[in-house]
Amino acid sequence: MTITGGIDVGAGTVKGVLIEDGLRIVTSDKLKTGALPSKASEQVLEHLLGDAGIAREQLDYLVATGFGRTQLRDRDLQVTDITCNGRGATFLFPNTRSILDMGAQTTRGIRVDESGRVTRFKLNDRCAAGSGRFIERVARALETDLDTVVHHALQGTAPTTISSVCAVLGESEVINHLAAGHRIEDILMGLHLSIGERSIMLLRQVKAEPELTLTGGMVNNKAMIKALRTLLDQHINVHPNGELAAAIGAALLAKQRHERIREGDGALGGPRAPGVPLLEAPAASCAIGSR
Amino acid sequence: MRQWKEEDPQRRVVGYFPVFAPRELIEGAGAFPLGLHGGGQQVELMFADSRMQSFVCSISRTTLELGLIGNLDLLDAMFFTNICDVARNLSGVWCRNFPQQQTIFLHLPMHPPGETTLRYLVKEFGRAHRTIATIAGNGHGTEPLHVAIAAGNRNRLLQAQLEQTHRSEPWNLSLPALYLLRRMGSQMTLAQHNQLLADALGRLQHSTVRPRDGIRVIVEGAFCEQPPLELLELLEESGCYVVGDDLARGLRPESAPIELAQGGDPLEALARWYTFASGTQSVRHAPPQQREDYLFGQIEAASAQGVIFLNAKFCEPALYDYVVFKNALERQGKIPFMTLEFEEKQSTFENLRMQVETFVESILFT
Repeated sequence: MTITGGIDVGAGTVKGVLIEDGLRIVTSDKLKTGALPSKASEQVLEHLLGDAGIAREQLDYLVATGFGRTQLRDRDLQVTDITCNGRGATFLFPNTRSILDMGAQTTRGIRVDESGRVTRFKLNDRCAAGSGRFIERVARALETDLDTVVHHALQGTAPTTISSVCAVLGESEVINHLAAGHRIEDILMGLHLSIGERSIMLLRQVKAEPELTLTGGMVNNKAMIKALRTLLDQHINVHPNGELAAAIGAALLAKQRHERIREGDGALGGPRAPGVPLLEAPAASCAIGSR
Repeated sequence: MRQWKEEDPQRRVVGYFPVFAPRELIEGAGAFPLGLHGGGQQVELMFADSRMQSFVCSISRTTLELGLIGNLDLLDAMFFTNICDVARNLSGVWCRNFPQQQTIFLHLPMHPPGETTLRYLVKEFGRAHRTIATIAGNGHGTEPLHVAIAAGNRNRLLQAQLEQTHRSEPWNLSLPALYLLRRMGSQMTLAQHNQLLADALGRLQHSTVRPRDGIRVIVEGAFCEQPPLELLELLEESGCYVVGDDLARGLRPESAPIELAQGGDPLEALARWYTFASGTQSVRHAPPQQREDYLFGQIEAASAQGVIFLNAKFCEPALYDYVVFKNALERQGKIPFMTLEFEEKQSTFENLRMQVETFVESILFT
């Protein structure tokens, strides 16, 4: 039996999973990233190992992904979120050919082949106006929480247009609409449609084809799912574990690398000095300059 | 350095511009060889742009800027070699702008190894040695040269051991640390550098770090101007174990030791080493096939899975090598490679990180 792990150190949340033999999710966990991504990711790892009742040495391979992937010291490898999302979404929905990954900081349109390998991708160039952070900013400006924003947005019947492409200006626009007497429900649904439209532009740029799978933290936002379905007029795969897609993909890639290394591939499995064990257990460290 | 010099008015410092300067020659003539590597990210250009065009490499401009703002007024002489036209012109600019310092230009031979080359180089080294010895007020005796050559040989041996350690267990010694250990040689005497390297090797004997997965690559392309440390860190963070490199190439061990018999002529020994035994240096002319053989030899020796070319912007010698290497790799079709361009004052690396990680993943997950 092989147990591999994936930890997605996201801008808003750290997500982690352990997977058995690349087939079954053994356990999962998530925590707010906060100001110390390294600490949050180590805590998630600790929880995962505790839940599974295993020590780090018994975890066969661990891949870190997400914006803070290099912050997890105990990783075996870091892999970009794009590659991990491709594998994770295909694990959740095997017929996935396109992915819309909507996270706190970044939104990505991704095309994959039948095995989940990325063939094209496009991201929103770090502008908060196209990501979950925008909704969080608006919630803060309205002195409420995210759940309340989503609840109100779902009641919107005549969405107000939010035209600004900048999160800061967009926030002002929301306040201006409120001052002009628009219903809060319509403004908030307009906000979700605005983010949705920008995300769909990414999908067009990668020439998205069905089936489309939504991943990232936005799978928990029912208003966003409604907005996307309205805009796209097509079925969108949404899985309860969609937020974990990148972590799942990371754990699956971990399984792949673990097998390849056992076959003698790579820097660790390939030619190396005699006596250097393969993925040896942690030991006292006094390396020079290693991170 | 300034303080060290003030402690004894007899002390002399000779600066040298990359790529290669025979440190043994400078030390053996009684002066301290101080390597200059530009101003990195710390220097804003205020005066150098009035002397050099903006389309030449950063290192030549920031080195000149350091001189013009008075940071290098402790130098008694400045040493240049004929690496490229920019370095050649910089020596002329230096001569005009800093008349109180002696500008020494060493014409290293471009010819293939041979007795004619050797005879020429003995004379050229002799000329440089006499000039520096005069500055240092040290006479023209050769005993200090014997001592410096012995220290230089030990330095080659220690550096080779350090590189071998890094190559076999790269997780124990990071690439930036290896590079800095090597580069520190330009800021201290050979004997001091030897002590530093010996200490580092001693520490590494007891070092065991849990290795991470990654690919083994070699890095090629940097001549005078060196990549920012952040870029080297990025390579490792992105999953590259750099098990062969040509960083700070003028300070690296060039294979064989300098063979100097008891009572032998040290200048002749130094010139013979440079002519015949100093390896296939990119600063010397070599036919394309020889350059290709060097590259594939490096790949094989390091068991590398890929090559990363790190080229400084506006560096023509690097581009000359790059075309030869790139064509060879494309013809061979087995070793993937990628190219990154850098400059001294680079501060954002995220785009490069994405490129490197994609390169790593393309090798790990195919």
